[in-house]
Amino acid sequence: MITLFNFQVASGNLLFAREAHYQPLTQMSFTSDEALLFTGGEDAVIHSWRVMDLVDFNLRSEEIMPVQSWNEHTLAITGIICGSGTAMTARVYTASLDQTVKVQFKQ
Amino acid sequence: MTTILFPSSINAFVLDPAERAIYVGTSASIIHQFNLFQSIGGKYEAIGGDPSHPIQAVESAHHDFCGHSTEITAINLSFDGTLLVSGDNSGEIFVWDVGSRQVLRKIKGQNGTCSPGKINSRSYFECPNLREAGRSAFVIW
Repeated sequence: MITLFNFQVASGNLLFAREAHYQPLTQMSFTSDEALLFTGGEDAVIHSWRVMDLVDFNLRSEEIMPVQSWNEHTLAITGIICGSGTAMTARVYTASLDQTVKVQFKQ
Repeated sequence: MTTILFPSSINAFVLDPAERAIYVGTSASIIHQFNLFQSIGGKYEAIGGDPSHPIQAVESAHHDFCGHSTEITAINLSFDGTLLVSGDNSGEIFVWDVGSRQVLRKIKGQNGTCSPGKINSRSYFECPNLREAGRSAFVIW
């Protein structure tokens, strides 16, 4: 299992580590309000994580679950870009070796 | 969710700052510009919205940036969306004018794969990030 690490820049402290993907994690992107973090990798799965959960000392790593997961792509994810807007309104563009770009948005 | 289907696999892509288009660098050494809108009867409309039908991105001279000889490994846009910078597997970096799709500058590799990092949106000219045989180099141009 591939682990997602979260470090605090000023002190270098490790805040959070959690196993997240089945194959190497290659892409990460925050929404512009930094409320959500999207992670994607060679396993073709995209997870979205609530940043508040990732920095919350009271939550154990195993308790933190992705807000949402997408299994739509069939090959490794090569790019994740969050468009303008907040976590509720932004569109998320994901590109993959499977020759597609998928655009997700909340209705 | 909307799916856009391209002719070859995508190694890197970048979004226009106003979300008008995406620029997709492929393993076939071509960068495709795909507009996220269409013009119908003089009005602009966002494309997509139908999850059951992928949109086929058509290969067309009007929207392709051709010039690289090996597969694209990294791509980025300047803050205003007028310059496109792309790197390929041979270590060459191309700077393109987006409107005319012309190459403005070629920065010759160093041997090795090239991966431009962010072009800093505050300083128009800050750097691609070259990786050569394990060393990282910043090129300010």
